[in-house]
Amino acid sequence: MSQHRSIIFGPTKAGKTLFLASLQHAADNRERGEQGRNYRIQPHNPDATTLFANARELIAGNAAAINATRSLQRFEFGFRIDQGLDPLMRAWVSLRDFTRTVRGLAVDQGLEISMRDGPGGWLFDDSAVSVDGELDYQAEMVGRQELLDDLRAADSAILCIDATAPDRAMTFFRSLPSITGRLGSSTLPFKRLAICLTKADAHFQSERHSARRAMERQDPVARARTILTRPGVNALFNYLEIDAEVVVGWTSAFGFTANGEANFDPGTQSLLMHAGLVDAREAIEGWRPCNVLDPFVFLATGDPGNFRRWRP
Amino acid sequence: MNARRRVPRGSAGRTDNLRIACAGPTGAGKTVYLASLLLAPHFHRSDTRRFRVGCDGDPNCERLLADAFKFISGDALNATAALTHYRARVDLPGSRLLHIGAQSVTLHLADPPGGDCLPASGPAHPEVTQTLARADALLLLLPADYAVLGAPLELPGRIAALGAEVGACKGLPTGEPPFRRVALVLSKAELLVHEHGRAAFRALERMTARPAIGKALGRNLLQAVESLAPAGAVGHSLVSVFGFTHGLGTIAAVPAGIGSWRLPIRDGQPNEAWRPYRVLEPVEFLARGLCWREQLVC
Repeated sequence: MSQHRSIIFGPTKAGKTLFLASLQHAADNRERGEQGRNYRIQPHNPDATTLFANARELIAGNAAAINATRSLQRFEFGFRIDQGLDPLMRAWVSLRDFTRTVRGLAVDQGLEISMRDGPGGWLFDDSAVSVDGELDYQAEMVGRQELLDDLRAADSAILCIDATAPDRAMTFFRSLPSITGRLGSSTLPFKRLAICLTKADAHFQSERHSARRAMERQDPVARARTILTRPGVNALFNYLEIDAEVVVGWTSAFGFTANGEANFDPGTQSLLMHAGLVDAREAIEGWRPCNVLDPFVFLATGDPGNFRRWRP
Repeated sequence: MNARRRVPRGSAGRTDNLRIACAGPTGAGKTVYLASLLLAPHFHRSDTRRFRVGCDGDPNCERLLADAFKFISGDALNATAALTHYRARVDLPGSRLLHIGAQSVTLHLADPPGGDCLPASGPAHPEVTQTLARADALLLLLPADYAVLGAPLELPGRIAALGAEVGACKGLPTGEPPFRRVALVLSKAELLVHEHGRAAFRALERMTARPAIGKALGRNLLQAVESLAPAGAVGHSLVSVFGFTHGLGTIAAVPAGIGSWRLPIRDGQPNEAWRPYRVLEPVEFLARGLCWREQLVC
């Protein structure tokens, strides 16, 4: 498998953990062969296994299952894309792979992704929003350094920003140039960066049954510019390689119902349709995270999917 | 800074691993200038020429970066209370094709208590002298306040004395210039045009740095500075950390008390309109012996 070092980062309460947690369900709950691809996600360490297991509690209406991250965790999982091929292409690919195997060359079948997820406030100095509970200062200092080290070493990244919080502009204004400053003047080694506007369900909830359509119509680049601020955008692009690919898009861990409504209950902060309100089958099939696979597919293949390329 | 000025052979061209020392009298704005360098590339991003400025792991520089945000939010940076060493790294862009000519330089600032690298009497702080002695090039900041209040009469002598001290530290023969290049920077240049209202930006753009500095600070001072580097290796620059209000052309700074200025406070909102004026050009001159004078629009 190709090895990619990826990092997911963003301010606190941007929804990084839930975004990651919904990944396996998103892959499992897709129509088989949709867009000619199937996705398989296999956790490879206890943190990832626990995360994906906790995510399924959302179907039962347990909103507390996914909490903001309080410590540095590393999630390791395999992300495999099976391209749907017609029989002729499948035969050709098999012959090609056989030839490569005979020649002792690696056969690229997917990706191994290692993602470190830490409290957002450790990288983004956000005194306005803090994780509940006690934070060990020493652990925070070590964790911040590890996150910075991971930023330097990653070859691709996902940046999560809360689409519902334009007032977080001050966080990015202060923090992003500061983060890149702490990295020294070396460039961020990302070949690919996916910027995810998380919580799209909450952002478009007021559109009711037109929520999904409204999301598909609205330009994510404009929203990202507003939240990141001009100096934040400049800092990010100043420190990326000139040939780095950047995409931005709406994502929703809760997703939308079949009739286009946001599958999000602001009262419980959980799924609108869960096993407490509808039958289990309907709850499971009704939970369809939106666009959460796209950033990973982009990191792996360069295909932006439903995301939009951003070239400032 | 005149990009077309010829630089003598031996002085032109890129210099790798260049160490640049910053110096200047108290109130010249050395710390504020360094703080503005750290943020300038994010507020004035050019698609064709991308500068990067970073702290390179220096904790003092990282603290200064954090303070820099206060500065552009309308607070004032605290005056230097204790000797502080700063180290920043500036990546200068190369050509669009293959990035030919791209290079990095290191900026060092030894900021003594009170911020005065050119004390009225006695030698400079030893660590200031040592920082200068280890440097290849000098970025000398002098405030435009002198244009209004008059430069201290002994300033040319102090500059010459500093040059002699640095030369002695480097083991150079008497009279030999101690630096490879010197950038003489008139900081707070907006003070030269603050009465021009909306024509302030245009008025400053029309000025040529060397004669403007000579008029503001005196020819004796120009000559004292020019003795610090070989002939033709001294650049002159008018710089404003506060800059001008984009779209209006007025100076961006507002009075904050007697003799002090600050950027306007915007109710805690980011001041995205901040546009520092030509703060990177002196660094580029020191690195390359010439710089591109970018056409600015305000």
